Amino acid sequence: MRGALARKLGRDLRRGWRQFFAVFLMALLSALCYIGLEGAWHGLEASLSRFADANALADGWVQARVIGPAQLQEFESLPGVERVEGVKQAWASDLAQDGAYVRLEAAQDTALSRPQVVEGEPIRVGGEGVWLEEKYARAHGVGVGATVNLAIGDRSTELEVLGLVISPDEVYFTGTAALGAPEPDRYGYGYANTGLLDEAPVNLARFTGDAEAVAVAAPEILGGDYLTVQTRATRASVATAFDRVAQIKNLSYLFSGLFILLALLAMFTAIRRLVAMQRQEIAILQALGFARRQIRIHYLAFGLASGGAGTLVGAAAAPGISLFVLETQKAMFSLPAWTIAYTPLSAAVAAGIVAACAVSALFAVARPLRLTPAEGLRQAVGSSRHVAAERVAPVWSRLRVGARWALREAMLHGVRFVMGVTAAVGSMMLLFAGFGVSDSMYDQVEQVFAVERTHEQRLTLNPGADLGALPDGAQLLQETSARVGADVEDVTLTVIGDGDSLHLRSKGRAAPADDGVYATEALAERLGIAPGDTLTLTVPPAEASLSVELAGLIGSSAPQGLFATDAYWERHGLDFTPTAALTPTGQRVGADAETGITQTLDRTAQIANGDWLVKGLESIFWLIRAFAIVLAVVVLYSLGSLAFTERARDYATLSVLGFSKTDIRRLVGTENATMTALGLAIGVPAGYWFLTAYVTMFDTRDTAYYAHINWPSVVAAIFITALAALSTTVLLRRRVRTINPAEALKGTE
Amino acid sequence: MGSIEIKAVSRVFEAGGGREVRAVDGVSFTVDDGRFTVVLGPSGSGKTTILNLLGGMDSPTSGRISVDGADLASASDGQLTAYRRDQVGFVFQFYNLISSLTAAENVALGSQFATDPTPPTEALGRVGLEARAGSFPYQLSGGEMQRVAIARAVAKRPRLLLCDEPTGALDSDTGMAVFSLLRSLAGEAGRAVVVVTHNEALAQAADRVVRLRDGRVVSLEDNPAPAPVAELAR
Repeated sequence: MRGALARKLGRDLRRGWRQFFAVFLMALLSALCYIGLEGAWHGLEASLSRFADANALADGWVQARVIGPAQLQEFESLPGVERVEGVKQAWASDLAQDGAYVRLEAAQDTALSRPQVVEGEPIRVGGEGVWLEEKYARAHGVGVGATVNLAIGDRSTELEVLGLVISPDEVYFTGTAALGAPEPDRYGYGYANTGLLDEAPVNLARFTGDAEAVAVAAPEILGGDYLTVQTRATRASVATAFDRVAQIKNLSYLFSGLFILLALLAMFTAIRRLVAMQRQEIAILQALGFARRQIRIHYLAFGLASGGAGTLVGAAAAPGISLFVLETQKAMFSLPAWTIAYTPLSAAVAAGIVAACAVSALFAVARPLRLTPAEGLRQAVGSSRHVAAERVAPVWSRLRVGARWALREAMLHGVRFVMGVTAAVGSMMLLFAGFGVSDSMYDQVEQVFAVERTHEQRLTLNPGADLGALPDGAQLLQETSARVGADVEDVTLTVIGDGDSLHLRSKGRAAPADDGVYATEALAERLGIAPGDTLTLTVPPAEASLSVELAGLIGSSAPQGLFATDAYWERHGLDFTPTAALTPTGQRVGADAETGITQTLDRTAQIANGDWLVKGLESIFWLIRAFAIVLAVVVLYSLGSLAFTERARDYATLSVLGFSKTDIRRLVGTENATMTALGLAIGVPAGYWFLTAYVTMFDTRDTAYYAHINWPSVVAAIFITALAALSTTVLLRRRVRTINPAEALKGTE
Repeated sequence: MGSIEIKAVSRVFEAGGGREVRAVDGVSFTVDDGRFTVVLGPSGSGKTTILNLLGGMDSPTSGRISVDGADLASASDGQLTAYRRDQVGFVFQFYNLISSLTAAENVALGSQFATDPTPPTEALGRVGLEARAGSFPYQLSGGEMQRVAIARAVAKRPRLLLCDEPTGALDSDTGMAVFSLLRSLAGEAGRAVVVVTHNEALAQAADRVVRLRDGRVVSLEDNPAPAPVAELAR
């Protein structure tokens, strides 16, 4: 008997292969989506942690103009601080590459943040030579044994490349806060034995232990030389990597969550339909003496077979997605090894998908099992009732009977109708995310580098730079760290001089004005401050503490920070000492040690860098779009198909009554069209809401993303969802062709 | 008097494995307008197949079904739909009412495409259910549902009313009431009524009785003096 049921199961699945395939596909994609993304983020997290642990990544970094041996000792004696190491760092120009810079660090035996040699000889102290960052070296075609010509100020030297390295301090090395993504063509780093660094002071202290203790004490210990304290959470070259882990993690939770919810909807309807086709067979099994438990187990196997097979295949294919996503990150991050890794949650999600299929099957079989065999074999007369719309009698009475039928069905089978609308809305939300995140990120680049900034070049200035050497109209900037109130985390404060290269706005007017300090919106939210608040700012040198009013918020996405005008700054008795300048459109200068212009960076390069960052994620966005499209088609088809199956006999009756195939197609299409139209109408605002929530997943400490979706993307999302619904209608219309009027004369089948 | 002529009609179905089932084999008879015909036979004798062929829901493998000189056997799908729509009314064993339409709406649905249909309330009144016009099928008894189905079938004033075991799902009293109603509909505006049944007792009330066995006509009897339905043995 058991063998016969197993054979029945196999044949039933073959007969209902469309439903089986729908469940299989949804289970597969659900598992693939979650497990695939988890493998990527957890793999990246594991790879980062392994690198950090193996190379003793520091817990924090103190930057200063000069750090003396006594001050290093003071840091080391702070409670909770374990180890402190001072190092010399200085920027050098690569004389062989125009506009390329290498941040050199004196080679030394170090216990903290040990660089990893990926090619060449181990780092040693003594002799002349340099260990260059791997990505920079490869970008410039420089290998081990080659020479590079580096200059600091007016001194230059040729150094042999002794090895290629990556540093745990610089997993995501951009070289400058003015760039959002690594630019190995322009910025690199290296460890060198060279006289160039002889005169450089120790200006960086790495430490392990209590970062807060160091952050609190550093301004006092270092006095006027203090610049900033960074932790793993605030140092962009480290934090961005962990932020990316969080981004993909959040993305996997939110996207997979919505995807799996909609997939469950599709799976439930497909299984329900698979079982609905067997109502009479369930009654026959009961009549043959099968216990309800046995029948339940038999139909449970429907869910387990289709859902289990899909989940297994999805889980087996998930490493492919994990590797694919990781591959897209390799250009951004520098790690010695990339691995994929999974948490027990992957297994739990897989088990959950299979369980959901099993529960769906049990739920679907529950109703027919409540009937006696006789009731099951007899044709059921579905119950019905009048609906609210009928109260609008003048309208209702004018409707054709077919329209009344469709309306009453839609209102009475609310769950099915709501599921259909939900499917369309869900598809729109996923598609908005798929298209909109990319649009939002490109828009962020556009806003920051085309709308808010119109400079030709950004110049980095040495203290005491010759401002007379700058082009006319150059807008001066002083970028410094600052602390707000009792918060020990440094934020960037930019004091802005006169000029027409920066166009920040607050509530529709130019900002900052001379009436106070302005904060970017995301920073204000993080710090819990609002316009009108009086802030106590502590800016280096440490004793310079001032009380300022937060005059307004700036809706800029990057960089996050505080802004003030030079006039407001000087009114508080502080010196305006520019550290950077923006040249007006068309005005260009070169870096020059004599004038104190240490680095130049074109705005076009900043735009290209920003676009490249988004392009690096584009393949993930396409993955999301592909998932959303498949989901839209399968969910809408499953629901449409279920509705069709439930009414197959009615359609056959209509055919007997003289309804043509076209009339029936119109009826079938009416409900689908209604559900889709409503889904699209709700889907646009819901999609935008989802996008708004979704883009914040990509926020970092320095960049806040605002939802933006281009009209072509909105049209594409609507078009794809409508197309999925239309294809469903077309497929169902084809099934209308198969309606056999003679079926209406049969008993209950 | 007009008629529908079935001449040497056979219907062969593929039964898989290259086997053939001859559901109807060389059947010939006529359905005259205004007359009440009962097709009798045991299960598997081909009754429902004959009904399908007469109603334009299936086409014969061979033979001819002539309606006003046109052959249904060679009609297109569209022509068959038009034939069902304009000339045929159906009454099913299990009623086949649309569960989410009221009795009146079910009737209206059936005559939606007719040129001069009987208004739904009038059609329901004809079967004694005017008061149940606003009821949904699940609120009606089996006999009431079948009467709604009959009202639906006749509201479009069909020339031919085909009934497949119309009393098969009903108790004997209700069945007789329904049969009586069907009997009374024959002859209205020249309407022919064909009832397929295995109930021998009903034959006495028919104008013509076609007996089938194994897909063949075994006897064809005209009854010059049909018995009143009330006198039929139950």
